[in-house]
Amino acid sequence: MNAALTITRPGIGDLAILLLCLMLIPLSLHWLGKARSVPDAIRITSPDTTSKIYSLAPDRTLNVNGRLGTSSIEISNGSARFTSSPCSGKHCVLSGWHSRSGSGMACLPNRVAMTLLAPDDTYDGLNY
Amino acid sequence: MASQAPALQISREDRQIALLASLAVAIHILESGIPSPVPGVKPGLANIITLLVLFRFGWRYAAWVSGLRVLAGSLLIGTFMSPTFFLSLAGATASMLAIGVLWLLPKGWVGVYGISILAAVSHVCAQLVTAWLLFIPHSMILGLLPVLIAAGIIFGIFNAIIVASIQKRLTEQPSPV
Repeated sequence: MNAALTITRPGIGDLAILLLCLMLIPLSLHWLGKARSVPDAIRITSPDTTSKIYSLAPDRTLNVNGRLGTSSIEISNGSARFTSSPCSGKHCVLSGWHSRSGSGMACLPNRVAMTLLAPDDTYDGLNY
Repeated sequence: MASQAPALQISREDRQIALLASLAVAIHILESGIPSPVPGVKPGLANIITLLVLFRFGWRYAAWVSGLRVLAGSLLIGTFMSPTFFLSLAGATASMLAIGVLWLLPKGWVGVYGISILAAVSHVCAQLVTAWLLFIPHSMILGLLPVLIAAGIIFGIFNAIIVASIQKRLTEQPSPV
């Protein structure tokens, strides 16, 4: 047993380690911003085509035929949103822009859904 | 006549380490039943025993207690060779390596607080990287890193206070074993 290690008051070394570990918090937030997967494609599901993947690259508006009529999905700056849909609730339109991979929205009455996809997406979730 | 096996010498130290290892296993099992509001955030109370063994018997014995806790704990809970076991093993290995590095420093530079904080933080970091590499290969899992590091620091300090107070009592009173 080392007598020097039985001290109960924290020393300079302890404070240095504390500061080092505290610095890891903003650093990890910084890395996280870089590591976050950026979506590059959108999967649109409709009664016509079942499921089709489009690129998010050029900004445009896609018109998708659904059960009630045409839903418009606007793609801009790597994000997507429903701009119009022939449903009554308009939850799809009100949900606004979706920009994260895995994020998406469905217009259930019109049977049209969209999901943003990133190249490194393998799972949505895993539980055990 | 069959030759007799040499008698196994069990020292007082061996008994103390066995007792402390079983205590660590018991805390490990009790803690596995505590629900956590954030995935992966746990006080790591079993680490108190590892640190006590470290300060009383040295790094080699602490590594034994830590390894035994992971192995026996997982066998008793029924998580042996499951993702939980590998996360536990990765965390314990990383924290023992981090403690080992600090242990090599000239004595007196770092005390129980620094060792406990670094052990807890390296434990969570290793667990998260293992989870990312083996089980959930999605970069969003790294979003837990700031939360887990913060929790590691808080529980590292909390455990260090407990270790310091137990160590104080143990040096004042003779060991019961």
